[in-house]
Amino acid sequence: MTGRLMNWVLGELSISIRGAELERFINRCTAERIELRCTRRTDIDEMTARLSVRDFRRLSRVHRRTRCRVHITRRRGLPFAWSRHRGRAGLWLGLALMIFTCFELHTRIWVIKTDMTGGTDRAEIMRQLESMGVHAGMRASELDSEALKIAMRSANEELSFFAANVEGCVLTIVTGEAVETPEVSDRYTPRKVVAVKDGVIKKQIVRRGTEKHSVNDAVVKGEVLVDALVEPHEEWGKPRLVTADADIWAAVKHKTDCIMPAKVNKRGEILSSSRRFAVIVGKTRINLYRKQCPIGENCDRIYSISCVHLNEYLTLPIALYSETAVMYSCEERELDEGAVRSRMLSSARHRAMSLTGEGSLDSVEVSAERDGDAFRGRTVAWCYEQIGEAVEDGRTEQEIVPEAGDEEQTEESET
Amino acid sequence: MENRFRAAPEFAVTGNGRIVITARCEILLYSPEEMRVRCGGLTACVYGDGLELETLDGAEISIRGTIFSVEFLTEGGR
Repeated sequence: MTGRLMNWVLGELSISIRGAELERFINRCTAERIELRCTRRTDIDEMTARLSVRDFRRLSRVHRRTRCRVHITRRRGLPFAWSRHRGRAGLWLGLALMIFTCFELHTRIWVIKTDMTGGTDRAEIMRQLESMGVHAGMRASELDSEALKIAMRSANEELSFFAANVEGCVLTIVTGEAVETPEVSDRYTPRKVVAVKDGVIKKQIVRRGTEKHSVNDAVVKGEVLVDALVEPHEEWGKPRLVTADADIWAAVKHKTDCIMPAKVNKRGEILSSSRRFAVIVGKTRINLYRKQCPIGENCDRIYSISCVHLNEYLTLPIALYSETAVMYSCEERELDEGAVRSRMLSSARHRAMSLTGEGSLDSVEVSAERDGDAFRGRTVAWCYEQIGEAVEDGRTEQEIVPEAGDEEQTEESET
Repeated sequence: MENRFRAAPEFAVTGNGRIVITARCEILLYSPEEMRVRCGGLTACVYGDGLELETLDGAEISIRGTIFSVEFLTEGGR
């Protein structure tokens, strides 16, 4: 490839050689260090070859000695193109302008991509970058990634990672949200397990602590399920406080009241559809239409923006904006009680499933009655879920175990 | 004496479409069906169809085309 390009830059000639001693001609060329390329014998006394302009100037000595006649069949390369188009000033000016434009466009950032993990506010980050002078159209050489990184990290404490990578004319912003270090649970801190919801206990797995309820007991929110205080097994032992650890599974009732309209609008047939285009050059939008798109409740607007990507890293600041507006009619429709009931049932199921976490849904009951233009409904969902949560026990060992001296004093006073 | 220490030509054949001879060579016969190349004391005959000289310089010659066979003719029975 490089060799071909060099040949084109230096200029190349295709020649036809006619004579009786073509082999001698080739050998003489080799001896004179004239490089013949793509030599092809076309006839008993004729062959074709290609050679550079510089070698062609030295060829006259060879073909005179070998009595061969040389004809130029084709000229190609930059020197010939230059001599042919030298007088066309407009062409050279346009070419120079194109090269300058390509170079100028290539040195700027036209696309800013983001790769943000966690709950990072993309709009806020982009606004901050804009205020720091980072925007589409800026020179890539003006971007100081290290300074930007320090500025963004100091401005946003919640960012644990920030990187600005420039590849061609694409700037990629990568951020990582700082994750709070989870609190290390102190095993020896006395903890008890309390109920976080009202329910009926169905299953208990107590690994540490003293269980306070048995299966089928009803408990209310905040009630102690497993106590941190463990009574001694032996007569001479002492009560002690532990970190209670247990899984308490219970049947929990989720009650919800809801109201649904008795009449709904249903999408009807499509009335009209129109498509409009616009060209976006940099930050300027050029509309290729006159009328604005209709905006209303009964209108769907679908738009797409197609950028011009020359390759993975080179994107031109030109995009085509296409917008499709579809107008449709609406029909008012009255819902019957069965439809309302099934909708309520479905939403209650979804709501209960989202609340239960790792538990399961047992049953759902729905009751709905008409109240004017609406339906009033009540859904009751029974779920099987974990209700135990470990919380810190306020007591200390000194509070529950009286000291030996205190015990003797109390005995003496009794006697 | 000088001939004994002369570097022997190297032949590199790629499939049946290209042969590269690394030596200072001289063309004895050149036609699309047969090509004779003398490399020092060795003469190589390349038979084929549509043979053409791809490159030719003082150190290397490369022949392109459909090669049927290569024969070697030695001088002085060596």
